[in-house]
Amino acid sequence: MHELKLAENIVTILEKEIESPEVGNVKTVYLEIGKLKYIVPDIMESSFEHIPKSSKLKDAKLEIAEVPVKIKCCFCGSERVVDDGDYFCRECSSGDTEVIGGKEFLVKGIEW
Amino acid sequence: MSFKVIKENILKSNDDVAGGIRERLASRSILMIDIVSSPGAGKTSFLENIGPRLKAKGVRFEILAGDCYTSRDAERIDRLGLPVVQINTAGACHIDAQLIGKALDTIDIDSLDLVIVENVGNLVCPACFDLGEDMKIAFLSTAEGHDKPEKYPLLVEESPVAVINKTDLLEHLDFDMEYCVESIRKINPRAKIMKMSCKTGEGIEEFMEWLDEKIKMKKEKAL
Repeated sequence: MHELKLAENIVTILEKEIESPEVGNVKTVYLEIGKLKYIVPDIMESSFEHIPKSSKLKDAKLEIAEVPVKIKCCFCGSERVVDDGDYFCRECSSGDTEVIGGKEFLVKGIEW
Repeated sequence: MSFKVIKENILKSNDDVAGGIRERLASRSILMIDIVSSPGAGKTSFLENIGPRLKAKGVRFEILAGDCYTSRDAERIDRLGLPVVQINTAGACHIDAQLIGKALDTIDIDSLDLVIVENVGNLVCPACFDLGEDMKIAFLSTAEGHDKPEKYPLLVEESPVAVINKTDLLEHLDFDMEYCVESIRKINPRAKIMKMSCKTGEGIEEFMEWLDEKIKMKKEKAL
């Protein structure tokens, strides 16, 4: 349940971005969130709705793209999406892998 | 319809503060560990165990004890005469870097070797917040069941050490140790796994040796 704090952060980022006069009333806010961050999109959206914000943002809706967990083998270099909770390399069986996707936490952009 | 690309990290405000804390501690060669567990896994009992040992060894440390509302944990630690600062999150499910920064401001960090953060009991949110620590410790316990590493992979992935506490209860539980260890290895093959009982003392010395080595490595800037 850390969505509320994150929604606050999102609004802080957006308030700065909409200062420029060319930005109109924001319709959609695009987010990219990795699956490892345990964000529940519905809770994120309702949290965002409840944070006080300026008029350009008041009708904005979140569009959340969830990014799957992805690993890269440090030994053979092969990459794959983790769908089974097993972080070993399937090509060479090495356990020496690095998480290269699934921890994203980005405001990608806004549309108005 | 117009579009503006932003690409900003939602946690930037936290991560910037965490980066500052990391630099502040690194310049003084102070090690910081962040103990993350579910409620009731035994974090405070663990600190009651290692605190006096650290003191006896002459390690200069401070415990930052996080709690949602009460100061019960900090009081338990304080009763043993151990240095502790209470961090109340006022209901929030995690400690963030700002709270750590404020707590560090209240103490004289120049005289420290080690900072131990006792995070709020929760396996989800604390894993997402960088506090400026050198490492998180995934502190699990047998009473929670052997499936927790699988259910909370981010914490296991981020922690170079996983402790499995309450081994003294094993005979009363259906806890499958092999399964639990295997599932930690699947997520983080490099993790050091320590089986522990704060009741019988199993694993405490092993942890102390590991911690001692990390404190030294931090002093030698090898961490």
